[in-house]
Amino acid sequence: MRLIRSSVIGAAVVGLTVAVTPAPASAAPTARCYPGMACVYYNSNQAGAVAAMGHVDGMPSWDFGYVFDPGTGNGAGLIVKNNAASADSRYITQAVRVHYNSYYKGPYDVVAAQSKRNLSVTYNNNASWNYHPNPS
Amino acid sequence: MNSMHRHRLAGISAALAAGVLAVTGCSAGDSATGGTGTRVAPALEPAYAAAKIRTLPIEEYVLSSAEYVKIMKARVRLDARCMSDFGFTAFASPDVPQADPRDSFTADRYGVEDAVQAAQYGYHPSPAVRAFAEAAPEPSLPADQELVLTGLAAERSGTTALRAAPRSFKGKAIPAGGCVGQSTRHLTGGSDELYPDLPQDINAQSYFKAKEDPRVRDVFAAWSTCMKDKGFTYSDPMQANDDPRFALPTASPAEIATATADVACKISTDLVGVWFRTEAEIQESLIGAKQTKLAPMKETKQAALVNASTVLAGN
Repeated sequence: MRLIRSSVIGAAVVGLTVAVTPAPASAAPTARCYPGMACVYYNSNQAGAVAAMGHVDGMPSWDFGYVFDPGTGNGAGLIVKNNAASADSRYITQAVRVHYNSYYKGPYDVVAAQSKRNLSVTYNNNASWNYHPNPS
Repeated sequence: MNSMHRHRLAGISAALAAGVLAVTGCSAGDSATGGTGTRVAPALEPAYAAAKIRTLPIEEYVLSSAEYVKIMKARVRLDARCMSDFGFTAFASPDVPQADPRDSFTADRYGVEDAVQAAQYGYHPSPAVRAFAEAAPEPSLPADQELVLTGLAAERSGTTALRAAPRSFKGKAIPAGGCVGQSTRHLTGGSDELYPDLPQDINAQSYFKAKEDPRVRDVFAAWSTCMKDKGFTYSDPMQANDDPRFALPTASPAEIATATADVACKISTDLVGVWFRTEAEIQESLIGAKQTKLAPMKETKQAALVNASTVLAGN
């Protein structure tokens, strides 16, 4: 299923006046991630290069076989697998889990909807990701 | 997406051998709905409904999948009220799919355990799991709703030079973290975190410590010998799971043969049972050492569940 969200991003600015500094909640995600998606980062605290955890055809999430977005900081262009240090989620209600092993196996870190965190068990050991919870 | 966990979570025989907790049912209050959900978990097949799930001690401090769903269903209702205060009277946050009661925090932690799944898909997910994983779960929101709901501009910033978002909408101040932040704090009694770091850090420590424990190393060695006798050379089962040769769209005959041998050797060596019991013991010790910090986290979790029940009851 092809992602169609990116088309919204360009249009999103319309109607918004940028004013003073934002007041995010302490655990809130960063504005670096795509709305309606979760992201991983090459460095801790949502620093360094960013990559989305949102599905694109031909990019199965069971092996993180894609690269950090070009031009987004330290680690850009490197493979995401086993290279992520932190994550955040701009999903509204859906959480994601980052797994230690391929094919959604092994222990996992939960990244709840609208949150950010440094990865724990999957710190530089992120092999796959999936939605959380999983229905049957 | 039918049947995914039927295969993923099975491990029936090994789980029974481990002799641990039975399946905890979905919370009764979960039938209340919020938002406009379209994904519904199907009824369990009897054989799998009877399966057991291993429960690690740390799960007491972490929201289960079913609990997360309950919290989200309540939060969605609070979101709607908050959004209505900003003029979005028909707003509904996307619903989350109902959780499978067997979808534990430790699901698939020790790799494939089910011979049927191994024979069909090797280490790969079943087509049903795959279909779910490849679905886009939520629709995008209009920019003004995104702002009020989350406190963030819908426009993303790829670099670390973050763009500032407005702090008010039509003259009304947006709560920290938007309506989501406000709803979450309402449920937790002030915390923005549903999954605090410490329990997840303990989850990590126990995993790494268990792999170094002599009992686990011994059972890995026994498993490795069993695999060698069948013609496969791996030091531990997750190394087989992650073999780069298997990184193909679907399982090759070699992968299926490996996974099938893996499951047989896990059963004959009680690998998962030993691994799980060792890790559970390690976790108990880690949890005991952090009780001062963990106890309030458990209280917050329980309070959030009680508050969610109140919201879902319509009060």
